[in-house]
Amino acid sequence: MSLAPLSAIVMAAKVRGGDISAVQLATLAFEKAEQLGGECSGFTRLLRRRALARAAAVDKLVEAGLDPGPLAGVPFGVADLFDVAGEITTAGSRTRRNAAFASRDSKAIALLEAAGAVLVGTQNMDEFGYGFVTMNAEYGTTRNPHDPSRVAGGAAGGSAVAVATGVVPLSLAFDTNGSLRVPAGLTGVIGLKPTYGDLPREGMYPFVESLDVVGVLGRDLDDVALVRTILREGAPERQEPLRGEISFGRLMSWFDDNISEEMRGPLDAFWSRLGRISFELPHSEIARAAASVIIAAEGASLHRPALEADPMQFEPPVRDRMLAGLLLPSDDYLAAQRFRSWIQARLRRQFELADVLFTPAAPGFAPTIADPVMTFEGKTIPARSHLGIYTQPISLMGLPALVLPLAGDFAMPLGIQLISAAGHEPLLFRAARQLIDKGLCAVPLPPE
Amino acid sequence: MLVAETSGKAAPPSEGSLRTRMAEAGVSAPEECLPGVLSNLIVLQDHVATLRAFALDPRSASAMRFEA
Repeated sequence: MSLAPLSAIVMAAKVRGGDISAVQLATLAFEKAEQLGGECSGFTRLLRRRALARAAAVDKLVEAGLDPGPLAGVPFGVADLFDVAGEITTAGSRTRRNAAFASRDSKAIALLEAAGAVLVGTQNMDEFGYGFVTMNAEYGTTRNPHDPSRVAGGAAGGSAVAVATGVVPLSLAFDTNGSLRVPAGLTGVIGLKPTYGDLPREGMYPFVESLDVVGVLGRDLDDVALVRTILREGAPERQEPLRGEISFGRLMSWFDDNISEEMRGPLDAFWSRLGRISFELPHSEIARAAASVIIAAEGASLHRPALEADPMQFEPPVRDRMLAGLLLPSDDYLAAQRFRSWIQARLRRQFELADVLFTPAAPGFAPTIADPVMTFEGKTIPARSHLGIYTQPISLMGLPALVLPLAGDFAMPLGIQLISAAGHEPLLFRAARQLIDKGLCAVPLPPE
Repeated sequence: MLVAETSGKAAPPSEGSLRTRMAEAGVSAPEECLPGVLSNLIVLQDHVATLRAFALDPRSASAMRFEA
């Protein structure tokens, strides 16, 4: 039988109390990652020397009676687009094989390590974050731990799998259009995509500047909330906390279409437990279209020099999408950004009707690696470009979202996406706690 | 010659028009890439059509404000 891994908060308490050393925790993480191998652990690089030196420093602080911080000795990983000093930030692309070494750590890594955490490695992703499957021609396909013949989801699939397998209790990842929410849903972990601009992006390789956010993946809700607090460096919350009973509402129409059979029953049961209140979010299909236009235009513009130099260095699906993106008229890009401002203003009124809205994180179970497709409007289409149909509109709106696994004995994990008004992350955490305490959501044990 | 059929409705791209557009944009790619680029361009054009069908007055919202 598999045992639940320790949460980051419990690990740190044990390190601070001298019950276990940071070096032991880092060593255990390396052993587990090596035992699983790259495809199943989610890691692309293990930073053994750096991590053991850092862990030894944490242990020395404990031995000296000092407090290394709230994440004392906690091992964590990062998607391979966060700068790690002395390493190449690959962003999952062959085009960056000979890029310069990063001169310093990204700000998010520095903040976590200042709180005592220990970076143990970098994690796999779709090339430049452009995909929902983590099938990478250069760095391999990351497998879903609940069924290794299935995808982990993406783009930050390695970061989700590292947590789902219990190699690390936490990963830092990114979310442009669902990059961490889709794999969180498909691998059964908790994923926070904060409000646009909430967490520091310095030292994170960009993809779509107007949508990219830093996010967190974890197995324990309090761990994820703690990491957000650390990364915000004491910044005041943007909104006054909402008190009293939380009202939930299910989003319909766009968010109810294309749901697979395996998701529909559990989703309906979850909805029934929350009072069967539903809402429309008009124009969601336009929001998805606008997000796609923005991503294509900004992503292509960012990579234009490399596309001009040698387009064949890119993976074909990414190359073809970016070359097409280079041909978009600026008027269409600006129209997409205008629509974004317009719908953001309208949305503020939506949250006068319900505090927390919810949707599936993905349409159903993770697709197979052998045939990574899904059904959309009755057609079979590539999962690589479509698994984020329920996350994309929320990204455009800039709203915070938290993915939780539905509790139940399912063949594969099924994730729910909770959404609140901008700046209301504390409300999302309170709602998630309520759902976990009610037994409606639970993180499955790592598969044996 | 293909022209816009009605206001806001774009003519569908073809491999021939794609070659021209890529040349005008100053990018080139081997011939083998063109079918993939074309299919992505068609998808993007669908998204653009969805967007254009929503008649938002350009003065009613900023295109330069990203914060939610």
